[in-house]
Amino acid sequence: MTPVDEYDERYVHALEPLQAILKEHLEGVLEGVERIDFISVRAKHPTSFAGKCRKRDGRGKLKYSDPIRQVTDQIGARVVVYYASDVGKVVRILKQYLRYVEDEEKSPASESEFGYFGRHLLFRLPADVLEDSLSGLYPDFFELQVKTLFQHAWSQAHHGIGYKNKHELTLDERRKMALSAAQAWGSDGIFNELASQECEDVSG
Amino acid sequence: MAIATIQAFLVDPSKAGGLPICVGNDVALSGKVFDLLQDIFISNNIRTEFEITFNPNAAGKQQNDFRDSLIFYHAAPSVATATPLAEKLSSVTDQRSGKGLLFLMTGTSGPHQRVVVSRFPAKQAILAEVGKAGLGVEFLDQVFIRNVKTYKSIRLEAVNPAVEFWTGMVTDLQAGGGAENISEYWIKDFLTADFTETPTAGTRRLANALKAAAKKSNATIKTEIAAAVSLASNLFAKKVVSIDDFCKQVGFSKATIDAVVSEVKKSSLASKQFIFSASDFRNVLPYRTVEMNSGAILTAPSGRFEEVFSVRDMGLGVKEYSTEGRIRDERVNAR
Repeated sequence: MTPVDEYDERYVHALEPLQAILKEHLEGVLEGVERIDFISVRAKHPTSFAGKCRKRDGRGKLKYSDPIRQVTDQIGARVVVYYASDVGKVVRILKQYLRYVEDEEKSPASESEFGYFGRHLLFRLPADVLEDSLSGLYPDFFELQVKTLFQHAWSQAHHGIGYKNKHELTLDERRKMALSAAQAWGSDGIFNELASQECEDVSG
Repeated sequence: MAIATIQAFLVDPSKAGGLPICVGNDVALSGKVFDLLQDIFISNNIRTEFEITFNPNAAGKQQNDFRDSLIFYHAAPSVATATPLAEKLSSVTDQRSGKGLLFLMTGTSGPHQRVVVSRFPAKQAILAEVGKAGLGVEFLDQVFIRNVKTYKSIRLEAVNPAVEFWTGMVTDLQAGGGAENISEYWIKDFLTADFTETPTAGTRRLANALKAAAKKSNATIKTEIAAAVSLASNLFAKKVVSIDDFCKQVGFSKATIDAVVSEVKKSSLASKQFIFSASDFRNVLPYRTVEMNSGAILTAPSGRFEEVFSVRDMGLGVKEYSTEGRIRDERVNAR
C-alpha cells in the first residue's frame, strides 16, 4: 500500500469524522473564554496530502521519506481571537488540557519585514476524541494555530493570492503584500491598545 | 519479541557538580542477567505504567535532547552511543538517589522497534558463606536488583523511531508504582518529559461526569455524588486516580457508578489514570463543606451555601448553623 492509499483509508475512516469531534472538544476546553471569534478543524484532503508526498527539497530529494508519520498537519485546527493579548490566554488554557511538543511564534525573520504572523502549536490528540477501534489510523499529533482576526484575514487572503499563485509575484506585488501585512499588524496593535484601555476603564 | 542488544552502566551521582561518572559495557544475550532483563523488556503492565510525552526545547521547537540521544543510541546501539544517556542520568542524580545500575535494551515487538531504559538503585547487603573455616560474613557495598520489582524504566515503541519516539510508557516500581511516586528526577530531569494526560484534563473529565450524572439522576444518586464531591478535594489531591478508582474509593452504589460511567464519552476513558487536581475539581463542582469539631459536616453548592445554611456567631469562635427542609435521603455510611 502506498502512503497515499494508506492516507485515503485513514482520511475516510478516521480523520474526516474526527473534524467535528475535535472541534466540539476544543469548544468545550475553551468554553466561557471571551473574544473567541471561531474555532475550526479540518482534516487534510487526500489531494493535498498526495501533493505533500511529491514535495522535494532544494537538492531534488523527496522531502518526506515516511509521509504518513512525518506530515504533522493531517489534522489542523484554528482558534481565531479578537485581540493580540487574547492569543496567549487561549494558548495557556489549551496547554492545561493538552500536551504539546511544539509552540512557535511565526513571524518574518527581520524587524523590517512584514508577512505571516501566527502562533503555531503541535498538540497530542486527546484520548477523548479517538475511536479506540481505529487507533492505528490516527496521527499522534495535530497542528493548532491561534491567530487574531487580522492575522487570519491576511493569511487567508495571502493564501489565495500570494502563497499558491501560479505565477511568481513581481517585486511591486510583493511590496503590496507586505504593506497589507504591515497594516494588519498595525491594526492588531491599535485594537490591542484600545482593548487594554477599555479593560482598565472598566476595572476602574 | 526479542532483545537484540543490551548495554549496562554503573552510574554515580554528579548533580552536585563535576563531570558525570559512569562506566559501561555490553551485556551477553544469554544467562541469568539476560533472563531477568528479558522479563523487563517484554513487560506491559498497564496498572503501573503511565504515558509520557517529551517536552519541546526551551525555544518551543519540536526538539528534545534526551530523545535525540535515545534515537542516536537506537540507530547503532553500543556503549559509545549509550554513554550520553548514562552521563545525562549521572548529571541529574543526587546523593539521595545514589549510585544506580542503568540498562539500555533494544529489540523488536511485532512490527515495532522497542527500546527500554531502566535503572536499579544500589543497595547494601551482607554476604554470608559457609566455607572450610566456617561461616564467613562480608559487607557488600554495591548490590543491585536485590528485588527485581524495584526499578524505574521507560519503554518506547514505534515503526519509525526517528519520527515517532515522542511518547513512551514509564514506570517506577522502586517508588511503589503510583504516578505520584514517580520521581521528578526520572521524568522531568532525566527524560525531560511530562505525563501525557494533564491533571486538568483528567480531573475535569471526572468532574463533568459527576455533574452530568447528578443532574439527570434520582435523589439517592444525587446525595451519593454530593457527599463524594464534598470530600474529594481532601481525599484525592495530587493522587493518581481514574474515574473507576474514584467511584470505588468513595463507595458509590452500582446505580451511581453506572450513572457516572455512562456520562463518559467512551468506556476506556473511565479507566484512564490522571493526577487529581483539587482546584480544577472545585472549578467544575463548586461545593463548600464546613467541618465542625462537633463531628458535623455541612455541605452545599458553594454559590448557595449562605442561602441553604443560616449562621449565628456564638462568640469564642463557636458558630451555629441551621437549615430547614424535607429529608430526601438519610443513610449510615459503613465506611
